[in-house]
Amino acid sequence: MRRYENQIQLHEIGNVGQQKLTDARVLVIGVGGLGCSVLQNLAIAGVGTIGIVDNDVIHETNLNRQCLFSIDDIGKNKVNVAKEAVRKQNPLIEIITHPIYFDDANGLKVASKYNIIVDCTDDIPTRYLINDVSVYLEIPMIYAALHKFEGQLSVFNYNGSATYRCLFPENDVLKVSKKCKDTGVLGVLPNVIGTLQANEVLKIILNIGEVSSDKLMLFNSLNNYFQSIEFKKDNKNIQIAKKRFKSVQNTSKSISVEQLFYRSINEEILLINISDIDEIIVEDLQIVNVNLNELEKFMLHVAKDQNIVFVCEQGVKSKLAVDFFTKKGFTNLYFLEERISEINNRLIESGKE
Amino acid sequence: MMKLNVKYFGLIKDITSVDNEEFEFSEIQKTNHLIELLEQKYSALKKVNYSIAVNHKIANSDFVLKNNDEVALLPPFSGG
Repeated sequence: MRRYENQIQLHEIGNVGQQKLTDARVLVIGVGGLGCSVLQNLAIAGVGTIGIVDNDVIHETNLNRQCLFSIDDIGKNKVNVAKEAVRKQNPLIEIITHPIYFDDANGLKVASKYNIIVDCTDDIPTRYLINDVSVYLEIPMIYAALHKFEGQLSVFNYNGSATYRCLFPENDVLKVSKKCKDTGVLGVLPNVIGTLQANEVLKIILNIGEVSSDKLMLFNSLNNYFQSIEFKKDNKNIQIAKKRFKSVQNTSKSISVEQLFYRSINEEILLINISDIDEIIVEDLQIVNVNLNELEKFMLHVAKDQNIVFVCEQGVKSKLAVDFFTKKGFTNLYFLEERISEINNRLIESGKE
Repeated sequence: MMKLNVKYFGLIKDITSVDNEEFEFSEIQKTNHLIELLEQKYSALKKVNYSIAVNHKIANSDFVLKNNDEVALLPPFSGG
């Protein structure tokens, strides 16, 4: 297959980089001017799994800038048309459609299946929500926004970098309304900025170059003036983001690796590994490796009073799983305090003794 | 005498109708003094949420300004 030959040829990418792209899971929220451009660029580069969130249909007025749509698509669902359009360009990747508006009720659950969120929305309250979701899930948010001939671009919450709230603290008095006024836009601007946004995503996946975190890039398409503004992390604003999903954490019960090994001597404990990476096998422990997407199906085979401990890479999916199982009536649920790598570390340590 | 160059972006530029302006002060000013003055000149600024940058770095409200500093008023953009 020669599709990726020209990018694999770059020594910064190579076969290893291409595999990283294949393994990546990116969520694109909003399929407007930015979203279309981002989707197209990620798809042709070979990003393996791309989620698309939007609940709108295609309007004739979208066609001056939203490059994935044509005149026959007017009135059709944006996510479905976008999926078909990019699949035609690259059938090797998986596109998952989420025909919803990203909100407080669904946001965390949808985003938890991805490693990177791209913010292509067109209202400020949703941007604060995306920020808070990305802080909770500890994944980067690639932000871009437009006003007339100007564009903004930044990467938030990348390896603990500053967040959207650090740059633009929310003002309770001046809260912006959900629906913003249309100010007009010329098609090239979202395509320029969307392409730069996709570039940040690719750099993060490939771990190359310099990611635009802790700085806001400004672009004016009338005079080609690029500039960047530095900003810093602000813990008070990061705490505001963290508080939003606090209730999710409070419903969960945690257990340490030591407690797990100790209790498993006398009790039957099912350990469910929902990380995408390592399959783990540990003697004396009953472990199943289940993909987050297949958790609901798997649930049917488990007794409601079974002791279950969830484990994952970041400690986030396991909390979501506890929340999810609780709602389905399961009673003895825990999440492991440590990350999955910690179990292996402990085993190696105990093996040395 | 202290000279400041103030740059406007996005929605704020719509309010001021200019890209940038120069201001002169007889004494040292902090960013909040400058904002007070700007909000007197453009009352609609009071209804906009924005951050302030001095010489390309985000600054807080009591940042002390120097001669020839460049100040930018940056609102979050919404469009996508």
